[in-house]
Amino acid sequence: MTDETGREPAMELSDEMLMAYVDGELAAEEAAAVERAIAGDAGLKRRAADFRDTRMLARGALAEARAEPVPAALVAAVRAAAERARQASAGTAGTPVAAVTAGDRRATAAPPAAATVDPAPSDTAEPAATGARVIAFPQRRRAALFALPIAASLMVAAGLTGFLIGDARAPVTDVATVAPLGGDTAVTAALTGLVSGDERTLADGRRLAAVATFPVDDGVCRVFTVRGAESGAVEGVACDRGSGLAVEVAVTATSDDGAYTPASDVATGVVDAFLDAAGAGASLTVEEERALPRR
Amino acid sequence: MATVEIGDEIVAMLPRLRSFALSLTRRRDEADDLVQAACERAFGAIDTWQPGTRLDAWMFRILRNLWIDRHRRRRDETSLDDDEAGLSIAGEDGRHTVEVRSTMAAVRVAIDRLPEDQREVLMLVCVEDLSYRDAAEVLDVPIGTVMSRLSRARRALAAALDAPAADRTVGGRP
Repeated sequence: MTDETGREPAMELSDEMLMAYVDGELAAEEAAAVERAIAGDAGLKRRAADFRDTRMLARGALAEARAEPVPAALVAAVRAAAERARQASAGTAGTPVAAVTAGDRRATAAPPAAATVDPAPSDTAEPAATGARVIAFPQRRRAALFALPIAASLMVAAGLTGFLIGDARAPVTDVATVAPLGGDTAVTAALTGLVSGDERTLADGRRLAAVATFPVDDGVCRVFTVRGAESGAVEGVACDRGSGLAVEVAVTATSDDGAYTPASDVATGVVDAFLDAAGAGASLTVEEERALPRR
Repeated sequence: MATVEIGDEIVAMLPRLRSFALSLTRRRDEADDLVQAACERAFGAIDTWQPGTRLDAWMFRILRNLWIDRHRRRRDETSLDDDEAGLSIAGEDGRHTVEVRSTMAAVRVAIDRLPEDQREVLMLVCVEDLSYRDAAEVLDVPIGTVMSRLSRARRALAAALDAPAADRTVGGRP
């Protein structure tokens, strides 16, 4: 069906449909249709950006709580419960440990077994029988958020900037903007020569620090900070996916009096969400970084 | 999978279980207590977990069901509890203006203000990366319900963040 302009009529897109598209929940055919509709419609683009932003912001806002160490008592109690279940399934229920806690949740807060658990568990300290390790974040399903790294991060940038412009009148103590630094070749050129922990002063006086490097599916991503820029402290990620380093996300954090806010939780949250979505693995050692190809 | 390996996986999952529990209880001590109880319940019913399905979704479901059981019971006992603890949520009359110290604090406030049914689906999909289908199973609702709650939650969040800070209120609608 076509309208008088000979094109497909504007698609009536529900919030649910648009959101499902952003979340990568649509079948390929539906997704392509939504993509076409969005391409020619600034309003739809804005609504899609809202769904993208809110997903990233929700993750960023809660990243802090998730990075908190789990209380040793909780880890110990859960391990003790796992151990009891193991013994029960092995037909050895009725041992003292299993008997202590039958039906009483409170009693398990500090069962006898807990006393032997190292409060800071490590591979070496833990017996093979339980062998539990606290792993920060398991690999998760890749979110559609950064499915198209460059285009998507620019879109996120646009959306966030919009939200922050609306925010500018507000008496907030600090704000963050995600700005594309794609053209900032001074940063990427200097970063190429640095390993994590290194700092360098750029020609314009800004101070660049290499923070960490993470492997991703098709290359590496490097986290960096830039201080001394008029726009404030920047934390960002530059990735080399086969054609040299390019900045894919950069978060600027400034306080309302213009002072820089280093390592703001906003920036860290956004960067973590980005790395998470990019499927980043464990960070490389300095030696591994040195072995990376230089472009 | 052996019980030992599942135990390891659940221990590795604790940071995620805690953050989900915190989004339900909004109190740290209660969240940890809930996580512990959920883990114990899970180990007690480990035979009902089907290998090949998502262990995390199964755990979220146990944890949430446990919360609902406790929450209902507590509500029967004391109905004023929530207000006294300063836990009033969106839809009520009291409009306390909060000073929003940072963007992320604003996001946290906005999430906190969401009705519980919207907040939990936001957590499961946007923070925990569950698919709509997995979230529907955790919550025991149709996918359509997941989608409508989730889109409402995210629109409310976007609207709250677009508003000037003076209009960001706890307990009011944007």
